[in-house]
Amino acid sequence: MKHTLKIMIIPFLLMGIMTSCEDKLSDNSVFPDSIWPDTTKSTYAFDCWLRDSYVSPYNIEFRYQLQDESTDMSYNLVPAGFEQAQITAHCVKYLWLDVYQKQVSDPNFLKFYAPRIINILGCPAINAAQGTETLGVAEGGYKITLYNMNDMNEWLPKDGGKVNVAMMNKYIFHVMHHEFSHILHQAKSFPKEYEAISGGQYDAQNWQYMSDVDAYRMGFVTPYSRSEAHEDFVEVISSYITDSIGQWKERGFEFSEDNTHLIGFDENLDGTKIINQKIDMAKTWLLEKYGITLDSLRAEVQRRQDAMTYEIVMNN
Amino acid sequence: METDMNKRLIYTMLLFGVVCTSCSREEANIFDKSAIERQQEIKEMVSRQLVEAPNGWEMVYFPNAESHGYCILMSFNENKVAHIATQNDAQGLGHLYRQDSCLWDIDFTQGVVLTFNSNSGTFHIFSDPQDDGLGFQGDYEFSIMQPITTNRLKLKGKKTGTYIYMNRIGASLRWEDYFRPVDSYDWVTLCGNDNDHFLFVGYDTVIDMTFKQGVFYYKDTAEHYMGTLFTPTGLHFYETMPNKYGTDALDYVLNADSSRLVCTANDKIYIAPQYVGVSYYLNKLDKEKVRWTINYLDRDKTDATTRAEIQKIIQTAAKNGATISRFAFTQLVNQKQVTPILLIDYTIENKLFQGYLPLVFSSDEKAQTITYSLASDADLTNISPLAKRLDLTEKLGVQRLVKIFCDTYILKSCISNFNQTQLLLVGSNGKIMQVTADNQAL
Repeated sequence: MKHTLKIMIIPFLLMGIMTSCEDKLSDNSVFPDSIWPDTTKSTYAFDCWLRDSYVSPYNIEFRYQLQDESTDMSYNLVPAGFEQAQITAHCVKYLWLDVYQKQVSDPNFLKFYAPRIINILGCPAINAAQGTETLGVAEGGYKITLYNMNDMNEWLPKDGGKVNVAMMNKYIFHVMHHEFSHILHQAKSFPKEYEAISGGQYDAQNWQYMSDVDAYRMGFVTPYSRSEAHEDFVEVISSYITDSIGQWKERGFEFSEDNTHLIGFDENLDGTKIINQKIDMAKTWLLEKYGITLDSLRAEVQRRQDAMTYEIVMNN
Repeated sequence: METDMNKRLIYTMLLFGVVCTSCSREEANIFDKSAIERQQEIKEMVSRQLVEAPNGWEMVYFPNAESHGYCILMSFNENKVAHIATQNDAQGLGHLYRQDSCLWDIDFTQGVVLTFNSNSGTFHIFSDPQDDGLGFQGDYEFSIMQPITTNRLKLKGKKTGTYIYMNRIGASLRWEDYFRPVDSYDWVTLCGNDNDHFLFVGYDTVIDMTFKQGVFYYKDTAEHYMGTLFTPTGLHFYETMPNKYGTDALDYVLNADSSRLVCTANDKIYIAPQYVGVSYYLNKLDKEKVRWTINYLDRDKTDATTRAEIQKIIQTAAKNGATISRFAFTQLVNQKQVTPILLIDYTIENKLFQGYLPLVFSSDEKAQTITYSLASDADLTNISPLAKRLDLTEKLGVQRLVKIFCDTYILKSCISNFNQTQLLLVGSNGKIMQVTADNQAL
């Protein structure tokens, strides 16, 4: 038996000797230097700012130089201008990253849940065949694409002109909160009971033919909410966070005195009750699952929106 | 015992087999450097090529093979900023010289790719979806084709597959000056010629082509749209026109009497207008129902006396509350008949009116003349309200118009023999009237 073992050991020893005879490694890295900000580029200062404000703290790439393979090639698209890209990056930090960072106690929350890439494009994504426009796209919680950023300098004018928060919300922050809420509920499910609130009312095929007012009357914050329960859930959260009291008023809603509930244009209609029920459920879920107080988050966003100027955003 | 020994031997051999195969060395290196190092070298070489053109490059850009093309000037610097200049109306902001900048880079997403990856209004307008979601549908990322030479690069649009050429431009050329001959060529040949017919000579049969939105169109067994643009040296086609000589018939220059665009590679191949002089004038009137607008400003070639007479008419009308904006020869077509007319657009108290004086028209192609006169039984109903404002009586008003506009005219080209869109009507007593086909039917 001992003899057999010796015979068996010899080949293993030989194997060990022969597999250890690898080539010497090259001293040169196979990775190009360009993964760090390139000191020769005109964009160096901004790239350093992005590294310090997005990559290092949150592990997020803010992709502002367009690579067409990272876009939907069925659209005709153009890159964002460099100036507009800088405004957008500062604005997203001011009105999104910094808000969550301030409102959530876990310092790694954004590092863990935020999308890895924020991809920006200069023009709107127009589907020529259907005549529709895609406001933003999220790919599996990994990448969020924002369109129409070449209008950013009109929405947040350098010369101190009127800030167009509504357009920024439409193209940036409503999209970001919407998609981020998807990421959050994919990680920790929202209550099944939510789906039952408007259970029989969802219509994935015809939601786009519905007017805003009809949507509110049925208990949806937007017509798109009607497409499906998950979309409804994230639309409630994103609308509640981003839309100003003025925007809610235009829809026929006012906020209660304690600023936590909507009062509808006609309290006897079911719409307001349903929307409030959905908001309450979203508040409970965010607090229980992530320790986020939705009213507090909303208040911080609204405070920042009201105070927003070009200087405040760019010096943030 | 013997069986045990055999088994051991077999196991030992099998183990050796495994050991030996796992110890095979990696495939020998074909290249002396890693793929990433080789990519980096190519990137540096192409970047150097682009940057080391001190006055930049001319890009002969077609959004696609069947569209109007544009000349774009660009220079590249080491900080990855590209300066870009154009002079066209692609942005819908007027035909002006424009310059701006964007970021550029070389990547390897599809071979060696030149990308313009931040927005330049002058360049990315060709990829912008605009209101219809389509726009020009051009490229902003280009694969660089081999061979890469110092003075010329061949690119292929990554999305459309359209071929684009970049030519190094001379160090002494001012960019603004580059576009002067480009515009000049356009002016003397195809400017204003939308919907006009041209003959392409050099194929087995003469091809009847229509010029439309910067593209020559013809139809045989299939429909062909031939993308063109003007460079400082002449007309350039995206693809060769078919010809019986097997020539690469891409570039054309104006001949000595400015009547043809002749292929630079073979002078038997050329493009000529299908109609000239009287036949062009008639074709526009009869087939396209356009207006021949009379030009009477100081810059126009209408003679000074006629200009002054027309101005007097306008002033008289103005004194009497009518603002005249246009005089034009055209036709009034109704179900029963075609009536040649002198059309007058005018406004009274911000309301637009069109008065017209019915005329008798004749032409003589051999003598290259046309004649306008007033018929003795002309119905003056429509001109009456205006005529009264031109003078105190209708009769005098009409007589003043007839005196200025009615005559026998010899037709001459105003711009060039190739471009007939502006003609000179040479009448009696030194009268010359410049007229422009404005492609707007009555």
